[in-house]
Amino acid sequence: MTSTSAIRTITARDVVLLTVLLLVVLIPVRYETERAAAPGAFARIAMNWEIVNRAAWTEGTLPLWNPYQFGGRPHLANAETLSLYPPHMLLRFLPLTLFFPLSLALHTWLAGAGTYFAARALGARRSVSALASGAVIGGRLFVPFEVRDSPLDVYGLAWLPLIAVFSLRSAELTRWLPHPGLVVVVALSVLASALKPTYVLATVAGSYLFAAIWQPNRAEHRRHLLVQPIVLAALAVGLTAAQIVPTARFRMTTGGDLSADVPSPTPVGTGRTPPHPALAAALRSLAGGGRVLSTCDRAIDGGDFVALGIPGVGGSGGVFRADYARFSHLVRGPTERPRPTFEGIPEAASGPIRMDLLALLGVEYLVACDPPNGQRWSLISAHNGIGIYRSLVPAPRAFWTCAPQPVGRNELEYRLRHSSYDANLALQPHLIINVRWPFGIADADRARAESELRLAPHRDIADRTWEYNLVDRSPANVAAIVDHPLVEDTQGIDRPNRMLRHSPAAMPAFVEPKSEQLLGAGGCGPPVPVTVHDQDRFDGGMIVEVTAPQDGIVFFSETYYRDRRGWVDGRRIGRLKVNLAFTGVPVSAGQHRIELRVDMRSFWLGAGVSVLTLVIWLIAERRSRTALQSAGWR
Amino acid sequence: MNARSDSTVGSRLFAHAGLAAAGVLIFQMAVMTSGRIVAGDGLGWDGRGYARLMAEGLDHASEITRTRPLLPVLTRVPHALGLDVIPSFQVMNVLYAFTLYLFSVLILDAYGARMRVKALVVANLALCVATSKMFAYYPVQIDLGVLALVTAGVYFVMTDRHALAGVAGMLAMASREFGIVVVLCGLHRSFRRGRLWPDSAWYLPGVAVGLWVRWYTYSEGVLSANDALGNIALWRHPAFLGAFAYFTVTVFGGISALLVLQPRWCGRRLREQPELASYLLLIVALTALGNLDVWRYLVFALPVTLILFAQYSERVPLPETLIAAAVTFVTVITQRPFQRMDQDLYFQDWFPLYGIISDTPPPWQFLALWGVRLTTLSLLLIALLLIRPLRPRLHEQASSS
Repeated sequence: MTSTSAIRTITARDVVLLTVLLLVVLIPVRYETERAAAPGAFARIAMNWEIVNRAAWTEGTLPLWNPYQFGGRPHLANAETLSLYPPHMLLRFLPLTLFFPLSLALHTWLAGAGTYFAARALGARRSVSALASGAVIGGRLFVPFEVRDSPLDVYGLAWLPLIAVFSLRSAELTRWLPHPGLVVVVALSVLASALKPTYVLATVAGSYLFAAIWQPNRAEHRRHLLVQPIVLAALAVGLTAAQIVPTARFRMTTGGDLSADVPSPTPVGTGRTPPHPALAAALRSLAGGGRVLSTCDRAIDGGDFVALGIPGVGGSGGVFRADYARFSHLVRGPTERPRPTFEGIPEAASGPIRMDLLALLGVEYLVACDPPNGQRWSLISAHNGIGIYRSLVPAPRAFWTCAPQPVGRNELEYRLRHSSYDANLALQPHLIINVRWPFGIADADRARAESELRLAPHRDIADRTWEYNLVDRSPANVAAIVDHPLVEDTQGIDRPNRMLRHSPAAMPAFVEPKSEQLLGAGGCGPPVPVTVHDQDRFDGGMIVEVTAPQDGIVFFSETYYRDRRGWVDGRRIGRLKVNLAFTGVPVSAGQHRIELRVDMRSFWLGAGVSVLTLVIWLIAERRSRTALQSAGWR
Repeated sequence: MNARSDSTVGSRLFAHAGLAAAGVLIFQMAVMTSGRIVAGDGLGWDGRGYARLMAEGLDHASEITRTRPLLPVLTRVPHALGLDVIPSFQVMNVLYAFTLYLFSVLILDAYGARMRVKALVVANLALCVATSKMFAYYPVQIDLGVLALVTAGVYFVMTDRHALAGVAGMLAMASREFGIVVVLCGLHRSFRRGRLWPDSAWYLPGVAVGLWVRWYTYSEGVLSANDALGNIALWRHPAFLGAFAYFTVTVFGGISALLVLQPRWCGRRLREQPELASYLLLIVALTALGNLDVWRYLVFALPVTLILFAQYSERVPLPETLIAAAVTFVTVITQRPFQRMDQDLYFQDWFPLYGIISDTPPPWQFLALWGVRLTTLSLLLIALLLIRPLRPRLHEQASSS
């Protein structure tokens, strides 16, 4: 049997066999459904993306924006979310815990069926074809649920056998248009593999090469073996342009400033218990408010925020702004981290977290296993020893402030690292002193003393000795530090004379292009809060109103992406990337309504290309068939 | 043997170089898709020793890597031209891959394989872990270069160009202890053919170089005879037996799987060419006495595998297209050539024995995964067996009659 007839002549025995295979792959679905209820770290990534997809479709909008992680990030433009993958669009009516197991089962069956047809197309007997199919299904069935975040491995691979079948069949058609089935499966495979074309390219190229070398082609009819793959590539790119164009635009506009690093799953190889129901319920009630930071990863982390419908600053999986991760590392204090990965920000008792920068991230709530500094966080509720705390430092999602100043990249990072924002959002260079506390001092007592003495924890450098940024440098406060009963010793203070020994270090000279914008470099009054009308929408929309006392900007603690544009009083206006990763919208003095929206033009452009390609392809296909029929081909 | 004349081999060299270049292209695809090892800042484990040997000299290498000096020293050439350490090794790997695929094709050619069979073999080798992907993921290694030298050496031995074989053996001996197999294979062939002088004399420099390198570089800590004997204890562990069997079948993907299914046929061919049998026995023995890196030793059986495959493909009538597809299919299924690797997968998929034979029992998922893989492999082998339309023996009897 040759490939020409292999698929057309599907007999009853083939149908029975494929039905049996389908039943086999459906057997584990029930067990998988149970596991889907308590997914591990990686599986949760895929599930979270699907939650955003569903929520957006339910709201009747495109899933353009994921507001729950990393201060918000593009969703549809991230091809790994499979927002536009047709089989998943068809299955979206299923419950989430059934969706993934069933999708995997069907893709497993697809891989097996494709292998069966491929073997039959090459002339293998049914028994051989069934064994090959069984081998593929056996291997595919064991894709661990915990790696369900990799669309390439889970879904993309499933189409490859069918691609091979149709490629071999297409190679037998001596025309320049590839077989329609090949075009469809390649387009689906490209979407399924999150636009990573390696496997598809290798399979198509390998199959055509195989046909050229091993199949008896007429020597004079070989040009199509070169033309067809080229036409196929053009058609596949055109048909999937609705996904390709936004993704390409996203990649280009971020200029490589992306990180796909994800935290390691913990614990390895086991499912993770969902957050305690009471804790989850308490967190759900925070939806629509400020962002949440979890420092208690064993109970809840950024991966849970999507499912709970609450916005967070952490997260996992996919692509996000590397600069956002770099900013989060600045929040950690003086610890240097070369790799821009996003990890949970520690806030144990009196930890060295930078509260001034945390406020810019919009963090209002903290989930902590251990009580944090009571001077900075107030307890809202506790569940199973895990507390939800609210920041005592205001952390609005947007506020008016003076216009930022242009600075170079190195200067920006230096100043953010070596200065802190005061209440007026002015950067004050650090003045670091050391304080030694008495042996056995309670965290709460130390925190109280830190608060009284205006000491911002910088680093714990020994058991009892801490580095502090001295916020209040007045002689009275210096004297208060020396005289405080809990302060055993200090470094950086002339104790007999109650004077500071040194002033803040002079800033080095930076010779570099001023490509960045820094808040608080000049003098300014206190930030003016805005009224938030709408936020955390799946189309990326956010609406605020502000009464600006003078010309300045509205600072949004929303991650800056170029295609999330700004409108002031209905007029589109250019935005600024402020403080490494955030969005600033310039406004003049007076009352304004400001809106952020994701620009959908790249999607509509891609969708237009897809429709146009489809139309051209259908016309060409029809003409080709007509020509073949008139030439006496069937 | 039915080796072809030198002139025939020479006239086909251009086509063969094209095939080898195609193999290198596939190897480069594996480089692009496999990711890069992160251990040792991208140098890996042994790789750190090789890198230091290359960049800083013999005295700075580790105890094991300093006994394998030649290829790291050669890597100084791209390094001296301005490439960093890892790119230098990557460039050399491209060179090694080309050499390996070229001599693989030449061996196939010497045994009468047609061009399409050569293309099939090169494509499959370039898709295999042991002959391609390992070095895409973990580039600071010398094994691909040693394998290329050994393959070249065996090619020259089997085409009775003993002077060249001696040179290849000498280079292989200066590169890694496994180079001894070329020398022994050459000596055995010379003895068997009764040409002790001058053929076997060409291998003496190789022996001398090997002894000198070992004497000059040996230090405590390198695998000793006692260690090797101690490794025999691994054979009491069922997992080692299972892994040995699995990797013996899959080390060259569908190529080795197809041959493993023909033990009697292969046995007869090896009896006809006893130097190949002794070569194979030596490799198996070294693997058996080595450690847990089973397939990293078995891979040196490649030249013999190629000779057997060339003979099998030409002597046994099979549905060519289906067999070619099946061989490639088995390779793709068992080698996962374009899978993105990481350190967990590295040990889970390529060196599972480290996880199994350890103090802490591996998680059930790990064991289940390998259970499924063994089952899958069994299905594939049964499918391969069912493909054959004629028993080779019957066919040969029919041919002879």
